[in-house]
Amino acid sequence: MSARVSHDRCVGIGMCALSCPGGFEFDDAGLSVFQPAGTWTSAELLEAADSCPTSAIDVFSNGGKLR
Amino acid sequence: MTDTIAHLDRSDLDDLLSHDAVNDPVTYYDNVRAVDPVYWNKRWNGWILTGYPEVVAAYRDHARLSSDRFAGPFGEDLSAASSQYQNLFGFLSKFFVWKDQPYHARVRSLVNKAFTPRSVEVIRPQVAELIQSLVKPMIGAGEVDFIAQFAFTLPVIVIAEYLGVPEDGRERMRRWAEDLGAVIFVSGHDEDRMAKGEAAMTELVEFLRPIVRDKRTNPRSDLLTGMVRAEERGDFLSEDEVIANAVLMVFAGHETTMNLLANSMVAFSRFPQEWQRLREDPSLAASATEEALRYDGPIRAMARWAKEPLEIGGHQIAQGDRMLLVQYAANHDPAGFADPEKFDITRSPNRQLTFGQGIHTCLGAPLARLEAQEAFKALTAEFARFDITETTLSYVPTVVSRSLRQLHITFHTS
Repeated sequence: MSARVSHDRCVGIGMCALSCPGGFEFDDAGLSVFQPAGTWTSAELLEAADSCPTSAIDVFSNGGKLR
Repeated sequence: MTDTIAHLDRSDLDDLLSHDAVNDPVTYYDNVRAVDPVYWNKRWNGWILTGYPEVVAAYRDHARLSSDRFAGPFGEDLSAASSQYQNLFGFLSKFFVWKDQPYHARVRSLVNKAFTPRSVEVIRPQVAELIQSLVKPMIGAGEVDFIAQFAFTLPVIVIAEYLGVPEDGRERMRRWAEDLGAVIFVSGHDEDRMAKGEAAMTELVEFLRPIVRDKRTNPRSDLLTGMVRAEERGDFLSEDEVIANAVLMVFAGHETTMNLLANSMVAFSRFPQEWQRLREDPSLAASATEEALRYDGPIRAMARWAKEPLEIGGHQIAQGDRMLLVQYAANHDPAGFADPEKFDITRSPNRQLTFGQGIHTCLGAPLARLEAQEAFKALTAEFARFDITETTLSYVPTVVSRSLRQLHITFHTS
């Protein structure tokens, strides 16, 4: 599973880092960046996508888009 | 531009509530920004941020810029008043918008899921239906009081249903919200304003407390039930905290959306061809909403104070300094938007800042967007054109909100 944060939509609210603490970190501009090598579970990643107030997180699995 | 500035009395720029600042904010903030996008306002005794990149950076810097209105320099201002008006300040101090981390994130995470785009999308059909019921009486009605009949009524019903609060209290709610708004949106101390705010808060808390208690025995799928369940799970929310945040949502859920809808009509009246475009292509409702938020949004600015020294826009900000983050100005900064004085409902990109940025970004943004999108679709579908019948547009003098005193409109179906 993998994820991507759209920086066109992200405004740095940080709900993803609460749902999935090992999966997201913030860049110098305060926007969220997915951490592929971080410690996270699939459930946490999907929860982060569902919790995003700006629908900025896309989640993929085997090339297909789950969220 | 330089000539214009040379003729300006600098002290006028320091009056955030001057006639020009209240009624012609674009010009006023342009003049402030031309002096400095990070401007020291002697009278307000703090920094006024009007540049797009500076406002974005400040909103995202929650680690160094505090939102806590009951600590730091704002807390000192309030200490005398807060002992006198205990209900008012006791409950205002529990608003999570005015809390820093980690408390803020914990409360926000409790209610966040209810306000994601995905969650609010569920109520779109009901909102559209409600809008139809408000639009129909305006057909052939001549001059209508747009705020009373539409802009106020729509969001207050939506937020009441979403929260799980009976909407029959809505006229009282409007008065409470007005009295609280006078405290929340205007800085400084005015005995009458504070006394009215205390009375409004006391009544609103008395109105909400039995409703909150009822959710324990009669749980429903509404937001208050969700907050009460969090309280019962021991998730740190006391009953007063649930009530305080319900007050916040009642207030934030309608005041701002009401002003967005009213201000949008003014924008469309200046650019009637945009009304026609939307009428011909309702799929533009989403981008039209973003542009309405940018062009004449309901919020002018939010305050912060520096918990530690920082540099912004080439200025050294000292610990304890106040800052006013003026998104209304940033939304008109050429550094952020091409041709900012043009109201273009297809503007793209449009990273407007009306909802703020960073951890305190408006929780209700998806709901406000949905209401505005459906309102614009329904109004443009029904009415070919409209006339604003006010002789002059008059705005409430506040630092924080962009709020018309009244707006009468005559709609035409052809």
